[in-house]
Formats: sequence, structure tokens, C-alpha cells
Amino acid sequence: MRDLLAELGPIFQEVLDQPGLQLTRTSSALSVDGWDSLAHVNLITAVEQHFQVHFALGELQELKDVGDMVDLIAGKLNPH
Amino acid sequence: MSFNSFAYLLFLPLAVGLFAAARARLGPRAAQGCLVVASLVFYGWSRPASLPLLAGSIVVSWGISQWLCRTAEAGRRRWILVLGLALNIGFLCLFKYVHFFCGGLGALGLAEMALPDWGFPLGISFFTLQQIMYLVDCYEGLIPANDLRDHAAFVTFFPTLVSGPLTRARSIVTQLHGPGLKGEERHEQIARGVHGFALGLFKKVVFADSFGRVADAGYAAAGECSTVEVWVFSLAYTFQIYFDFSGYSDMAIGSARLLGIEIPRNFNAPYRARSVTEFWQRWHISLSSFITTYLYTPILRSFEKATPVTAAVATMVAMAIAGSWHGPSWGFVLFGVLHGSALVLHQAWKRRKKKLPGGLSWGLTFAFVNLTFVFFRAPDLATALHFVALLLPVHDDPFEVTTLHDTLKALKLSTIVPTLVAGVVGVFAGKTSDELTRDFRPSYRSSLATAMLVLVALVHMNSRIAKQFVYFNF
Repeated sequence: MRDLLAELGPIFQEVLDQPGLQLTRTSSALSVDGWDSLAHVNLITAVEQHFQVHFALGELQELKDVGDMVDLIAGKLNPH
Repeated sequence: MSFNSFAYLLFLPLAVGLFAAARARLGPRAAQGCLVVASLVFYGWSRPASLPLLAGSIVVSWGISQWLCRTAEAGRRRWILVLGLALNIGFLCLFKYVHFFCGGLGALGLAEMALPDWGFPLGISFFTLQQIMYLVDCYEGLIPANDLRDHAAFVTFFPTLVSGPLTRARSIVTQLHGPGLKGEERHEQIARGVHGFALGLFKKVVFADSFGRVADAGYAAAGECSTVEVWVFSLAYTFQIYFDFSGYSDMAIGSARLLGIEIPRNFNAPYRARSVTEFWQRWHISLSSFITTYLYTPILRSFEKATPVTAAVATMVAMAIAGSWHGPSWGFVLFGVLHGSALVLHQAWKRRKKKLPGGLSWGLTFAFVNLTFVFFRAPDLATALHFVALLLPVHDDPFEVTTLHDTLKALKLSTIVPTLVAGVVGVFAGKTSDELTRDFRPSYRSSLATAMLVLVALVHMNSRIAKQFVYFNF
């Protein structure tokens, strides 16, 4: 079982240029410095490339925090 | 039909009762049909001629979505989506912008066309955006195509039909299909619906209309205002539009709750924002969410790389579109461009990692927002620029207050000034209406307070002709 949160950590650290960033499920654009709308698009692109998934625009609108992102990725990697 | 009318106050309980009875006796599908009929009555009440246009828009978008979902080949699906978007945007432009474009052509010395004025289907800006979101969701495979009854129920949903909040098809359709809350939870939902509606009605007919009367007088006398007066009159409109639109949204959300449907809040104390970015996270939240998701993100991703420069371009384009969405005038376009520029500047400022003191950030943000709303309200660009120029005390007699004094006297100082003061306090302090409603628990005291809100609102409504909602024009 992949630890998606652990895999997201380095991606966020690189895109946001914060090597010491500690990500949790409740991390969001409100709590993480530098996570603005430009960074958000870069994060999405990097996450898509890493996990080989594609996020629909409508799905992006529903993402409130990292936990939502983890759940969304999990759903795409293990579709039922 | 306007939410702040006696007709709606009779219509709403009838519609809610009919919907609930149909749901209980005949099931959710039949209840949905009743809801569509009620929504069409609501929509056609003031302008029956708009009904065929609404129906046409619904049928065409529904047809496109059905075609889309039956097509497997990726290239073809893209073309069907493009067609659907073009038809919706074309429909919107035809009714909203054609005279604006022709005026522009005329000004450039090109074709002078005299086109008949078709009038303006109420809510066209909103139900078009809703269907655009729906078509994109279908294209992306997020939802199956609605059947016609679901689609009609979603688009015509009377609480949100005319001025939003913009909602996703999946959310409304899922809730309409679902069993809904029962027992104690349903009773609390109804109580919160009534309370939220009462707050919204009060905000609209007491606060918005009071600020509106001051603003109207000021903008009518634009040529005679001093700096102090321009500040007061522009602030009056800034408060008017907030109470007007957030009050409307509260009534929409409250009405939806009475029908058992939850929709997200649309405002979160926007004038407490300490940056333009934060302002757009608090103002007309459903629209800014649409702009970010369906305009900004795809524009940015169309560039090879997402950099600060391409992000700035995406922001400017998205906000210019958002500004002009509000209406066919250069004032609205300028509103969008100004906000786009401010957002770009704020992004650049944040990258320098410097911080301003909180009070100064708030002051600059609020003053800027107030300035941009002059372009919303002024009857033409020349008046807007004249007003904006006067905001700086560089003209004769900046502290002259004769016009203001005459205005307030004509509106009866003793009643209007306390109302205005209470409104200003409510904007900057205390809980938002969304928080008040969330924390509302029915008791004798809270029920009495709610009843008093409604009573005062009814007295205001009866005292003069209700002013139309500002956002009805969009």
C-alpha cells in the first residue's frame, strides 16, 4: 500500500521551495506559505506527472486540503 | 419575481409545501417535476417572454451533454464540448453584448447597425455559467449526462436561478435524488433556512436599500461633490452592493434549505480582507471559484510553463472576462482589469516575502475595493473617472459637505443615520450571517428575534417600492 502523503511531501517541498516543509492531511493553501494559485497549478502538474494521473477541472475545485488530494489520487490509482 | 417582494413571501411557503407533499406522497421524481413547474412560475412571473429563452437554453445544453456522453472518440468529444461552450457563450453575447460590440464598431467608424433591443432574459449570466460548468463536468467524465428532468430541475432551481450562488450540477441533482434529512435534523434545517432567509431579507430591505438611497443621491449629484462627499457616497454604494448581494445570497441559501437542499455560502465578510487575493476568497465565492477553476487554471496550463509571467497573463485575462461578465460596459471591463492588476501586484509583493502591518493592508485593500466599485455604479465612464479623481483631496473645497447634508436631511437623519451606522458595524465586527445561521438554535428568544427581523423588514418593504437587486442586472 503506497503512502501517498509521504510521496507528496518531496513534491511540495520542491515546488514550493521549502525543503523543511512537513505535510499533513490538513495542510492547505491557508496554512502553507507560498501555496498560491500559481504554485497550485505547478503542484497539480507535478503531482500528475509523478503519479501518472489526470485531474479534471471539476475535481480541482473540490480540493480543500492535502487530505482531499490524497483521497483523490488514491481513487484514481485504485478505481473500483 | 424578486426575493424581497410580498409575492415571493407567499410563493416560497407554497412551493416548499408543495415540494414536501409531493416528495412524501408521490416520490422524489414527481416532486422534482413540481419543483420545475414552481421554478418556471417564479421565473416567468415578472417576464414571461424570457421563459422560451430559458427553456431553449436548457434543451440545447441538455442535448449537447447527451451527445457528448454518447460519443467515445476523444477528438470528437472535444469538438462537441467546444460547440456547447460556443452556443452558451454565443447565447449570452447575443443578449448581453451585441449592442456593446456594435457601439464599439460604430465608434471605430465601422458598420453602424441599428439592432432591435431584445431585452435581457433574467439570470442569463448565471444559468449560462451553470450550464458551462455542467458541460465541462460531462466532458471530463465527472458526471453522467442529466436526463431532461434532472437538468431542468438543476438549471431552473428557483433559489439560485436568477443570481446564484453558482452551483455544480452533481451537488443539486444528488440532493434532489436523495431522501433528504428527516426528523430532528430536518426541523433544524428548516429553522436555519427561515433564519438565514430572515437575515438576508433584513440585510437587503433595511441596510442595502438605505445605503442605496444615499448612494443614488450622491451619484445623481456627481458634478457637485467634494472629496469628503465622494468618499461617503462611494462608500455608501460599496456597502449597498455588499448588503444587497450577500442578502440575496442568504435568501437563496435559506430558500434552498427550506427545500432540503444545501448550497455553499457565497460571502465571508469580504470587507475584512487584508489583500485583494483574500478579498476574492471572501466575495462572491462561487464566482471566484469558477474563475479560478474554469478560466485561470486552463489558461495557465495552456502555456508551456507556469511562471510568474504566464500566471500574470492568465490572471489579467481571467479577471477581464470576469469583469465584463458583469455587464456590457467599459466600466465593468475596467473593474476586472483593475482587480486583475491588483492581484498580479499582490502576487509579486508576496514573493518578496515582505509584510505590511495588518491595519495598513486592510486599509489599502478596502480603499482599493471601494474605488473599483465606483466603476460598477457610475452611470458612465466619464462620471466614474470624475468621481475617482475626486477621491484625492486635490480640488477646491475638499471638505465641503452641503450635498451630503442635504441628502441625509431629505432621507430623515433620525432614522437613516442609525441604520447606516448599524450596517457599517455589522460589516466589520461580529459574526457573519452564515455563522449566525450555523449557530442558530430555535428557542423562544431566537425565534422572537427572527420574527422581529422579518417584521422590521416587512415594514420597510411596505414603506416604499422595493428596490430591485443590483445583481438582477447581470
